[in-house]
Amino acid sequence: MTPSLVRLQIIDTVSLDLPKTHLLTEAFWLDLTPGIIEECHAEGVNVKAAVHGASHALVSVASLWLQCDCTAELAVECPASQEVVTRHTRILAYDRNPGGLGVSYRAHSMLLQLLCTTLDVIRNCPCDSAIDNGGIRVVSRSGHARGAVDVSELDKGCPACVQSSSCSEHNLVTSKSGALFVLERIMQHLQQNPAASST
Amino acid sequence: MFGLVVEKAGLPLVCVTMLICWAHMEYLATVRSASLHPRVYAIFCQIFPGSVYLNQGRTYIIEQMDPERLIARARRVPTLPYHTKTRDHTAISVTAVSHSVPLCRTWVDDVKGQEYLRSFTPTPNLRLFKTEVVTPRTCVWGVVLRTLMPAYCMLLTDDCGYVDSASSSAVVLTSLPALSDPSSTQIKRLSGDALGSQAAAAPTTGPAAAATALTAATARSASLSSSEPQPQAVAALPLEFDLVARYGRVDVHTVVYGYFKVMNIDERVGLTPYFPCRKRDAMLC
Repeated sequence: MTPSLVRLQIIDTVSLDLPKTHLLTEAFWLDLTPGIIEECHAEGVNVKAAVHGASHALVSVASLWLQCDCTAELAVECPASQEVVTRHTRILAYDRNPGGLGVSYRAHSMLLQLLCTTLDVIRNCPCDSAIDNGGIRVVSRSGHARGAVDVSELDKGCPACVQSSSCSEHNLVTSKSGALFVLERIMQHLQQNPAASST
Repeated sequence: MFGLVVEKAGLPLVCVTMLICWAHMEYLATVRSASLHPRVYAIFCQIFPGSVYLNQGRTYIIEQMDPERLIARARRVPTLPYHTKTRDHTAISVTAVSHSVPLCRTWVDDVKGQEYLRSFTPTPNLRLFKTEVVTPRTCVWGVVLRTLMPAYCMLLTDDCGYVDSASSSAVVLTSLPALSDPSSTQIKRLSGDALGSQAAAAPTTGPAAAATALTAATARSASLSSSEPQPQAVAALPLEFDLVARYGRVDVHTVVYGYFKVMNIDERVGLTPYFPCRKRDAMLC
C-alpha cells in the first residue's frame, strides 16, 4: 500500500450552537485492566486506536452470531483524532435504538465467543497492515500521551477487520495491530487465570 | 429522517421569511440519521448550518434548518474547494449496571495501579480523592488504595449512583491517616499487610461490596489514626484487577459545537488545489 499523496488541511473553524442530544439505551462493555493497558504501553500499542478497532471488529462479528445487522443496530465509542479528553479504556457497544432492542444484551451473553471469533477474524484478515508474520510492529507511540492520536496509514486495517462504515469519525483512529494485541492479551489472561467469583 | 429541500428553479434565492422560504422549496433528499430515532441522535453530525452536502454528484450548502420540523434548506453551489467535518463530542455515561460477569483476574504493580486510578480522579461523579489538601498525598493514596481497592475498582468502572455515598465516606477515610502526621513531607506508604486483611475478604463487585469494603476500611483507618501508624518502606505489591464484562443502561450525550472546513491538498501539484470541474459546475448552476 502506497501512502496517499492527498492530505487534509483545516482552513477554517466555525462554532455552532446546536441543542445537545441524549440517547438513553443499553450497552455492554469490557473494561481493560491496568495490566493490559501497561502491556500495550510497553509494546508501543496505541490504546485508544486499539480499543476502537477492536470494538468495530467485535460489532461486525456479532452479526454472525446474532442474525441481525449489528453494524446498524449497535454503535461503539468512536474517538476523534483531535480530541484530548480522557476516555475509559473499554470495549463498548450500545444499542442505537432508544431504550435498547436487546441486541447488546444478547451480545453480552455470548461475549466470550465474540472475542474468540473477533480475534480470528483480525488475525486472518489478509489486508495489508503493519503485522508481519504474526508479530507486532510498532508503528506509532504518540497515542500514549494525552492529546491528538496519530495512527500510521499502514495500520488502519480494512473494512473486513477493524474498520466500520458506520464510524462517525471516519475510522481515523483505528489500529489493526493494536486491536490484535489487545484481544490476544485478553484471551491470554482468560486462559491463564481462573475466572473470578461471579455475581 | 431529515428532509432536505432546495429552491425551485426560477424562484429568487433570497427569501424574506422562513415560511416563504419553505413554500418555495422542492424536496431534494431524505437524510437518514445514525439512530433509528429521528430526533435524538447524530443528525446534527450530517446536517447543520454551513455544512457541505453531496447529493447525486451535486454540491449543496445547508443554509437553514428546523430541528422541530426535521427539515433543512439547502442551496446548490459549484464544487467547493473544501468539505466540512463536525467538531462533535460523544460521551457515554453509565447509569446502571444490570449484569457483571468477572472473566479473569489480572495484576499490575503498585505504582502503575496508582497512576491508572489517579488518571480518572477528575471524573465529576467521583469525588473520592478531592481532599488533596491533606499531606502527604502518597500516604493517602497508599491507605485508600490498599483498603478500598475492591470497592474502588467497582466504583471506578461502574460509575453508578452510589458513588456519592461512597465518596462521602471516603473523605473521612482519607483525612484520618493523613492528618496523623500532617507536617511530614516524606513520602510514606503503609503496609498492605497491615490494612488489607479485611478488604481482601470482602466481595469484589456490587453495591453491597462497596458498602462492606468502605465500612471495613473506615474502621481500620480509625484504628490506625489512633495508634499512630509507623511508615514503612513497602515493596511494590501487585494490585488485583478483575476483567469484568458488564451490561447495563447508558446515557449517550452528543453535542456538535462547530465544524471544520477541510481542504484536500494534493502534494503532486503543491499547496494550490486543482479543481477541474469548478468552471463547468459554475456554468451549470
